Amino acid sequence: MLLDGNARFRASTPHYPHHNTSRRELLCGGQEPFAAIFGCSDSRVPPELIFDRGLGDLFVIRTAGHAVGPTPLGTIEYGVAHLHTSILAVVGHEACGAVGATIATHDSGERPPGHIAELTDRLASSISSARDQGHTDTMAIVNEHVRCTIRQLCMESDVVGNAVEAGDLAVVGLSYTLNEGAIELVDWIGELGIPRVA
Amino acid sequence: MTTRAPQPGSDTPQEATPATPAQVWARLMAGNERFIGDSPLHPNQDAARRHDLAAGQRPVAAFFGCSDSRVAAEVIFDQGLGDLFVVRTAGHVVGPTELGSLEFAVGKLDVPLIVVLGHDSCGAIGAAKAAYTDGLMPSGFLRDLVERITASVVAADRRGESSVDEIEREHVRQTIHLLGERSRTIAERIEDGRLAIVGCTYALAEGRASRVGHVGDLGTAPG
Repeated sequence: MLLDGNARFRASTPHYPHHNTSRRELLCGGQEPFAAIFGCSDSRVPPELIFDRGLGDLFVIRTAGHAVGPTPLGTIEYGVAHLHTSILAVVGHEACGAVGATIATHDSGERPPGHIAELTDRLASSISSARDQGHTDTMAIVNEHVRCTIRQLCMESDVVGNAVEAGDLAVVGLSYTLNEGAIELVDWIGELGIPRVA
Repeated sequence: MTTRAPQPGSDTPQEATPATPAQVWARLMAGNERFIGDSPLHPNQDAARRHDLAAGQRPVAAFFGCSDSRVAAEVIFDQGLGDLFVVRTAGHVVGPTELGSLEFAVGKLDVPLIVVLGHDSCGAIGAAKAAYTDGLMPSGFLRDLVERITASVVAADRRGESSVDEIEREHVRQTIHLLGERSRTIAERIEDGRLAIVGCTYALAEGRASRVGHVGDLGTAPG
């Protein structure tokens, strides 16, 4: 469903499903989103638009660079444990400012001021991991950060880890290119019903 | 503010970029009215817009809202790609990553407005209210959400307010003040008039976002 919607968005032929009054009224009794999306705050990457979905479809957690902290984790656990979403998708993207700031910090050794350091500190291990593997291309670094994030969610949250083990949840890593508007499957943990290619 | 009506799917920007907090708020209220009236323009959402934005983002506002699937800022304010920098946690709970993200929007992207967006029937508020009533904290990281909402539950309770929607209004008010208290970057810009924070609650049935408070200079903005 997510990939179908992205194909419509890419082709500039969106259906804008579930954007209207009747959908609003239907949802007053409660929400039953089919996916939880953990993505970046970047204004160019709104999940509802790039996946062409509407109200009530996606439970969305967004921080700059999908940085993981106690509040995003608590929110994700709410989505998994209370709303029973079967997919948790992490969406990274090309030219991510938080990833860029963390690369700059990594290379210069200078920590950014204020709470922005809360982001770069939390992204630092992904950048180190990418650099250790010899990645210099920023898209490869973004993809490594997506891989690290899906592993981190499974390790740090018992709720997420247990749901994956029970076969109730798949944690999927995706990345998005700005110009094409295309979503790529980077990696996943859990059962997705598709074969892994080497 | 320009008054030319943009065409849906047009690659021209929706409006001249608003510069002041009041102008941005007016643009957002106009988008919310279009959404309420089932006449959205779906601006700035095509391939041409994507191409223009590949070089960089220049959002007109930052949103700090709830993760609830029914409260998508781009949909309910009828905005498009590149328009809104959006931070979302359940119950717009403030933690270090949210402060870092909002400081990025304010300090690096120079947004003149942060909108805190709560809504009625919020599940996170409901969980915090239940924990306060029962004296039982939830397990896991859900506790981190509930702990951060409890101050709003207590403040509402002291005024005799106990419904989820009354607590939510209090929580929006507390959140707009907390951001400036926790972030020097945000406080300084509010002080010198370059930034305002608007708190609103969104009514799920009607689709209307109503202002419940603000910090900073909003002029005589409506809503």
